[in-house]
Amino acid sequence: MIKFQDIAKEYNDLMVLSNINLEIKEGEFLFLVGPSGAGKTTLIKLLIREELPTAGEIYYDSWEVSKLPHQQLPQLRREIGVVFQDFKLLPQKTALENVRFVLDVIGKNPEEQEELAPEILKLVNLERQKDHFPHQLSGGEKQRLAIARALAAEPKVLIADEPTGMIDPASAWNLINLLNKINELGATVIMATHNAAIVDTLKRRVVELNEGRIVRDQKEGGYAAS
Amino acid sequence: MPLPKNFKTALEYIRRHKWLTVTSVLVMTLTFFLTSIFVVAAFGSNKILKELEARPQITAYFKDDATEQEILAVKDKLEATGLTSSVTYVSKEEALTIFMGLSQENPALLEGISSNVLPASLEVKAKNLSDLPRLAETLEQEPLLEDLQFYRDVVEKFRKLMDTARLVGFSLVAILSLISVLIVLATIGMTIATRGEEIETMRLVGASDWQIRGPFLLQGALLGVASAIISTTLLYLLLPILIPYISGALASIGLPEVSPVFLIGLLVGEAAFGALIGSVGSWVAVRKYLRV
Repeated sequence: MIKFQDIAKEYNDLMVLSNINLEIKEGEFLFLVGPSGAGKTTLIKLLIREELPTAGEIYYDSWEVSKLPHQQLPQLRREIGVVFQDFKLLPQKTALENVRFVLDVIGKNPEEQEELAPEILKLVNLERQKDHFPHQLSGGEKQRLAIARALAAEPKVLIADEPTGMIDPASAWNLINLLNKINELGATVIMATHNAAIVDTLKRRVVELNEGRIVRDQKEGGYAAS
Repeated sequence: MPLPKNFKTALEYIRRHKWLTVTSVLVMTLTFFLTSIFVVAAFGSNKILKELEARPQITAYFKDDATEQEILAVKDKLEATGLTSSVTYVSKEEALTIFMGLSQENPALLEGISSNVLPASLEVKAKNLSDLPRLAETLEQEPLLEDLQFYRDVVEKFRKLMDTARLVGFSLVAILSLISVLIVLATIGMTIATRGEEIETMRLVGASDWQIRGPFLLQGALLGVASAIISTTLLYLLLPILIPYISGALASIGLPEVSPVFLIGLLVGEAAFGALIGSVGSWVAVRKYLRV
């Protein structure tokens, strides 16, 4: 479903990714681990074409992502939901409106939006904060809102970039259960994380990046190489 | 994306950038208002010019003892030159009727006036204004001539004045339009620049260009249309005050009426122009952030 082929990415002469070959099958649950600056976020940015690779090809289904015409990008991004590390919430919209925006983008009519948005917020336990603007939310609440928004589009692939970074352990486990459930429902889940406990408990495929290279790709791996 | 939703979002953008909105609407309104005044004045002056040109260009007054036959002979002589477009004989009695008509509001002037006081005259129009001097020469040779009024100078002076006014007006409107276009672009650019990251985010969560662009275009267009409406309303309210004032200065020349159709035409034209500037400005400003 997703295939990175000989990918390299350079920023101002700095090699942040090189020689990346990675294939992810439909319905997989994959952890992306590695120290900060290893290239996890860049890899995600390449997949939704927030950035273009310096070399190599990326495939999503039959699409070659880096050659996708501009008008087709919305379609790609509706199928790949991302919980961004910096959240990227819409600052001028309330929590509810942030979710509704995505519902609107994917073509839900106002009545459906009215019905679905509160349900999605409930899923991440944010229904009480529905009328708050992002700047009125705590770090953890923002993170949950970012997750809610990514879920709203019912993406085929859900990518979460450090989604447990700012939430307490209990909420983190709730989130993992949620991601697990989504995965069981058929979505492919990719989660970049530093949370060793979660990775070690779930025993899923682990891809470890270091200095822009894949140094480990293990089927039922732990956070650290075993 | 349905229009009402775009509309709602556009209004929200306007509400959240109140002062920038007020600034650009003010500047556009001022531009439209001055443009309107200029257009009205240009149309008016054209009509005045036509009216002036339609007036007798030479009026020849004859001595009291000139008989109608003698004057008509002069008329024939003038017509024989082939240079005139019309020569009208105005008898003493007709002159009195005209005078009485003009002086209705001043009955005191009419007391003791008889047809003998006023001279008979010939009102001469030339086919070409440049032939007027020759016609005047012909008339001046007539021994019965009392006085000659030559309108060419008046017409020419008015035409020159109008030409200058038009040039000044046009330059003023051009400069103002340019300034207002720039200010509107800057305003829209600023509202959009503060949301650049937001626009990029919208793209990253899968919004299409049009889903993002729509409300911004509508916002720009709304500002343009609002300015045109305010400006035309102002003009509509001020014209009844301005016109008598100008008419007074121009004495007997009737200033043309500004018809509602004309005002509506002006409104539609300005609204279209405003909407165009607004939406083009938005288009350009948003484009930068849609590259993601």
